[in-house]
Amino acid sequence: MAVTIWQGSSTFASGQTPYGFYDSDSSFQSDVDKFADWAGRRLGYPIVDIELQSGSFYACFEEAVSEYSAQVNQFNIRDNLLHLQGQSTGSSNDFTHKRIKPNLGNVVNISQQYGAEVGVGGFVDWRKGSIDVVSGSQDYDLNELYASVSHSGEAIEIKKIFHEAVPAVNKYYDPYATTGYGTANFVEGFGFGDYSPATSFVLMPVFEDLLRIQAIEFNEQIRKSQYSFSLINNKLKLFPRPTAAAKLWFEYIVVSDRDNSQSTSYSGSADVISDYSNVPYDNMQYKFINDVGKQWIRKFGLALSKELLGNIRSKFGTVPIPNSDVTMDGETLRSEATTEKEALVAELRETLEQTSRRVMMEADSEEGARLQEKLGKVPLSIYIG
Amino acid sequence: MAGRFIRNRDLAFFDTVNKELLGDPKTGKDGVIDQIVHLYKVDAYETETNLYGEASTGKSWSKGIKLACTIEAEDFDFEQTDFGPDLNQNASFNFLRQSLIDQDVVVDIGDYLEWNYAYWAINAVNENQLIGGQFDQNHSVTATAYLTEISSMNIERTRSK
Repeated sequence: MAVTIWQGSSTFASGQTPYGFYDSDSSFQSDVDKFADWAGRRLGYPIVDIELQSGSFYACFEEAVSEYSAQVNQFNIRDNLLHLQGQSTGSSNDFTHKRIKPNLGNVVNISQQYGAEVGVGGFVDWRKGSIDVVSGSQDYDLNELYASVSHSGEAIEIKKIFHEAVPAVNKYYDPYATTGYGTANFVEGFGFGDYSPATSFVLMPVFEDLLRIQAIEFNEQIRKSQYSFSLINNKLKLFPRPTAAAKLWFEYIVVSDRDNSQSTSYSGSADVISDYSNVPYDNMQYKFINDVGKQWIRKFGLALSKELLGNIRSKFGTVPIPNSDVTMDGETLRSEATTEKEALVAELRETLEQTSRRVMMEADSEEGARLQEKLGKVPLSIYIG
Repeated sequence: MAGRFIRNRDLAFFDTVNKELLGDPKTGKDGVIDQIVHLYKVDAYETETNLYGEASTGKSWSKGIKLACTIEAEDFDFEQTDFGPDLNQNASFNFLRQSLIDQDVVVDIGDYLEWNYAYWAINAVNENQLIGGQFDQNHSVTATAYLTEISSMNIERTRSK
């Protein structure tokens, strides 16, 4: 069975590459035959036979384009992941060849977790519950009385207990009324202390109000048996001892809601970019790759072709010739190809690293500093008015 | 039939490499080694024989066939005779069997080879280079020949004729 090897020219048709990623790209169609011709010559054709076919060169060229695309996009993902996490993975969100605008999404996402803890935002629902307070009983186990009943024993974390005294300002009455507490106490005694006795008013600074309210609260707490509680391991102790049955309200979160590391801001945003693996960077379009990139692709494609030829020639260490045998150069070709590939990838990665957002900002900053330094040496004109 | 580890595709690869090295006169392709010989076979129709079947007036030869091969020639061996020094030399001519098949040629004992401005009479033919030990993958044909005098042939005009 004769196997046709490289004849020095080829005519590409769509479908002749293994994956067909770029087959429909007219630039690719034009370049792939030129690459085959060039690579064949660089490997020694027509002085020596090249045991490759046009399809071999096509496969190498396609792989070189894909490798370039992968290397550049790997870098893009590393550089942009902070700003892409949380965005949709849908096909309409293709970042290939696109400029990525930095945003605060991830920072805000982290800060929202802090917000959730203190009740000013976040993704964790603050729920409201209540227990019945019994006259004369101070101790209440919220796990037993509420978590077991309402959440099948799931852990809850109490955020707020509504067991407080009447706001101190109620006893302060109208801060604008400074004609004496006697009148105010008198009005309060009739149950309409919230209404301001329209007497004379003196405008006082706000801190005066705060100090007065604080004084009232301290008084209540220290000299009297103020409304308070202790809460340890969801075991609630009320102070003072309740003298009547009542309903005690509290706010809480279900701990698993907070600890759910997959929670998102709303249910429709479940399929979002999570990590390196699902950032929608696809194979580049060959026609958009500049000549700098295309030269890298050609050189990498040549290294791949050399490696492939080396593989073919090293399947048998020696090949029989009449009454003797000949040692093939497959191992040498493979070794050279490996070195060339490593060097090309290292060079590309180094170049990409030099264009990272961080490095460019550093360079920009340094350039600004140098410019300032330079401008500082420019003689200043003396203005004589 | 190819062996388990040496398939037809591999054999075709060997063939390609061999023809690149040796050259392929059938397609006019020069080889890296490119040692070319011409094989002359007796033309049985043109050779006149006597009553005993002997070619007493000399043999007639078919047109020479251009073949590529590798050659291992021994050193010259000079022998002093009553008529002066005589030159002897032996050589092995190794042909790619597939090339012989391509050119529809069989190398036989008694055939002559022209190489290095001389003619060599084949006195032995060996086919014993089996790829992967497969007897149907005989790779080469080695013809052992000795240097012969031009005058003993009927190919070129010589002074003795």
